[in-house]
Amino acid sequence: MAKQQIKAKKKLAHKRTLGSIISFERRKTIEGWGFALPWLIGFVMFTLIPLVLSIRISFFITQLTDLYGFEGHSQWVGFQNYKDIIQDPSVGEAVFNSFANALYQVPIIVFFALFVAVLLKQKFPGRVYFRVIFFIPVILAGVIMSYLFNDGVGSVNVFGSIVSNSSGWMGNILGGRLTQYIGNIMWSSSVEILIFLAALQSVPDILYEVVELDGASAWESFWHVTLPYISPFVILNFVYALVDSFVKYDNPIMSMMKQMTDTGTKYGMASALSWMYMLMSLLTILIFILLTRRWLR
Amino acid sequence: MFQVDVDYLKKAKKRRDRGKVVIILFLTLMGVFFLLPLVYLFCTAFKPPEELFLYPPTFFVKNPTIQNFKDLTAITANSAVPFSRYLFNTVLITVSYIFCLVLILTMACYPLSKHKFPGRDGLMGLVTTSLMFVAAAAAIPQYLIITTLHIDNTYLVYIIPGLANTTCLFLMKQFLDTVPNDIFEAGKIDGASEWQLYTKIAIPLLRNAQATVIILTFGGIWADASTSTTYIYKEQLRTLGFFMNTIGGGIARTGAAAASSLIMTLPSIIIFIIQQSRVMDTMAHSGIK
Repeated sequence: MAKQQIKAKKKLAHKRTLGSIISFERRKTIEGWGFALPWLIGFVMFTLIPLVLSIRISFFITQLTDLYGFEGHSQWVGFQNYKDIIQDPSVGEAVFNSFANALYQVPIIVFFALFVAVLLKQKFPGRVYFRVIFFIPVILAGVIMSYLFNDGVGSVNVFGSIVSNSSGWMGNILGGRLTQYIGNIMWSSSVEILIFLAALQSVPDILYEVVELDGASAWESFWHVTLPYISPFVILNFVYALVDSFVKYDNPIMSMMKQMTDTGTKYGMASALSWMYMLMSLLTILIFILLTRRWLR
Repeated sequence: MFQVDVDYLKKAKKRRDRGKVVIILFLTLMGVFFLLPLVYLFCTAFKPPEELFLYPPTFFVKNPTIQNFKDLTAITANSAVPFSRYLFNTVLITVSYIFCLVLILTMACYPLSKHKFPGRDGLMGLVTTSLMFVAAAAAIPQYLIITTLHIDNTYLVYIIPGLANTTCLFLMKQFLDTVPNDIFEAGKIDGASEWQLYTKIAIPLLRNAQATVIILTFGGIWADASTSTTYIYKEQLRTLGFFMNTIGGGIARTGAAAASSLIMTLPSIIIFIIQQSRVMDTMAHSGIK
């Protein structure tokens, strides 16, 4: 017993000396970076270095085959790739489309997701099944969504063919392009719904009980309790939806880049485009975050 | 007096019930949209050849058949590498990837959210920046790095490059931000070390975010076929996703491919059902309130 106590004391003394050797500030730094280190190594190796290398590539005219040996027949052209992109009218159009899409899609996605999440948070029979249903597009993401949009089947008007038997106004409305747009936007909102649901769970029930006692309606308690409480997540979802819409496979710029890399001959140009596009998207997100800073607790 | 109270309660209950009906109605209407892709997948898997090649394609199946599944089993029985090997590879890779990912992400988000150390803001800026990162443009440099590290043609190539997932780190950090600092300070006052604060407080409180991350990443790694194609030359090390993808080749196998898509999707749905209850329930018992 006594021995153990002495041992414990020795340990403590040892700790103290270690603590005094390394200053508090420095220890904090080491701990902070230490925890982040495993992630950071992976990030540097597989994201940062490739990113920097792609800057280098953007100053060359290269082909896929040259790149594997890297030097090969690649030709240094300076800013020529960037100039070509700026002067290409189809790029400008694609950029405009991609931003215009984001402008109308993102708010709809976020508000729709919030609406659904609030409904899904209520207690009612079959709640679990509904939660699964609203997440199906993400579960299927890789497999069937590409079926529906990319491959030959992409031309299928899903809604049109469902109601093809029911003629008249019903078929006209459901078969129209508008429904397809709506369906597309809805299918993009699954992750946002999930994030909102998780956020809504964190609102303490006691707050609702208090405002209910004060005679608040459901509408009032949403505006004065729920929304202020989850406002950081509203911002988060806006950012998530923005990023998602910028890098989605059906984004005009993304498909343009895919074309350039698929042919394997315009790799330098694709790198240049991706850098310019990345900076533009980043600027958009930064402006958005700065504008909404005060809701970010 | 009591009579009035009972009446009031009855009315309130009635109102609540009516509210529930409205909610269910609304959600059913919208849920139909979300079910469509799954229904389509299901229908396609049961379509006979003459319906598969109809143009324009139909949504529903008219004469369902299980021939596609029979074809699929015939193909799996004749594969060069036993089917069980592909399955084993995929399960091994998926489980170890998700375990490592959750560990690394929770570790990284903890100081990013709860510490003030020099360089933190810079690091967070880097994370936000790389959210915009266009993967296609860096595919070649990434290939060069992986071959230089000589992790191609091993299991590691499936796991390691994907671990530095910025989207999920961003999500997790946002979740941890909403946890009050007081909990960690209380732990510190009680003499907990940083490691204890991380394992005893941060990890349990992040269960919600962990489940979200698992749901988000599972489908991608489970069905991943491109890693096998790009980096693996040994057939024994390739995955189920790769194998199922090879089935798609050739018109004769379109039906089997549709059946395989359906089968590949099922585990993702199961994982979601298991994990979503964690997302929904943990917050209630987590002590955050």
